[in-house]
Amino acid sequence: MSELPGPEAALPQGAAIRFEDGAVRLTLSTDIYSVGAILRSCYWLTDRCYVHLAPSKDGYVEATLLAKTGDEPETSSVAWQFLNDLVDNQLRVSIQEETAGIRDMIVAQAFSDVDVIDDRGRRVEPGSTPGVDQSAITTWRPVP
Amino acid sequence: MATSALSEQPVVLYHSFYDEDCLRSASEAYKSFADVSIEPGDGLSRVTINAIPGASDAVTVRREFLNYVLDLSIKKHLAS
Repeated sequence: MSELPGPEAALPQGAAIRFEDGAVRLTLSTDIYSVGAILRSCYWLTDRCYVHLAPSKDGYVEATLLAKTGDEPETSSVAWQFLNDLVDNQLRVSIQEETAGIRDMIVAQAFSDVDVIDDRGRRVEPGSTPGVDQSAITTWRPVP
Repeated sequence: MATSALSEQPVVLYHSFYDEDCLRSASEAYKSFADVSIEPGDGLSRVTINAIPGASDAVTVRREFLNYVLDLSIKKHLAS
């Protein structure tokens, strides 16, 4: 397999810089990648590379990466992996935010003695009894 | 092109990523390997990491220390 080009050669100008010590600095927009996604991605890679994070101009974060081997192609490989991990982690963060409400309701239902959601997954007002919807799934859990 | 922040001494650690308590904990944990001095600034700390002679390669100790502080800070961030 042919060697990957360095991010500094393949990404738009200024997005990646290579330093004399072999490290690569990636400039990331927080409009695209949240700080949470950036931190998770760093955490995944700290066994393979050294990482330094710093805020840049407004809305940007600089992540400097250097493979622990000090090898330039290895640093490039880690940097590409980091960019892929960012997409992965950002997707996880977005899904987590989008599904936070339903997740909280499911957890509340699991630990509650009374129904907090009906057969359709709709919230039940406290004190009211959920109606039976014949077309819905009516058994939530195995009957003991 | 100059060297990166991973080779700078002192290195600037911004509190938005590097938690101050974690920095102090890491400094304590590394006292057998390095003498760490922390100069507080506005939203950042300037950190000088001097490996204890005979411990390990000085540059490696500095970089491992930075990774350790970051790991601690991320764990704290994700747990909150």
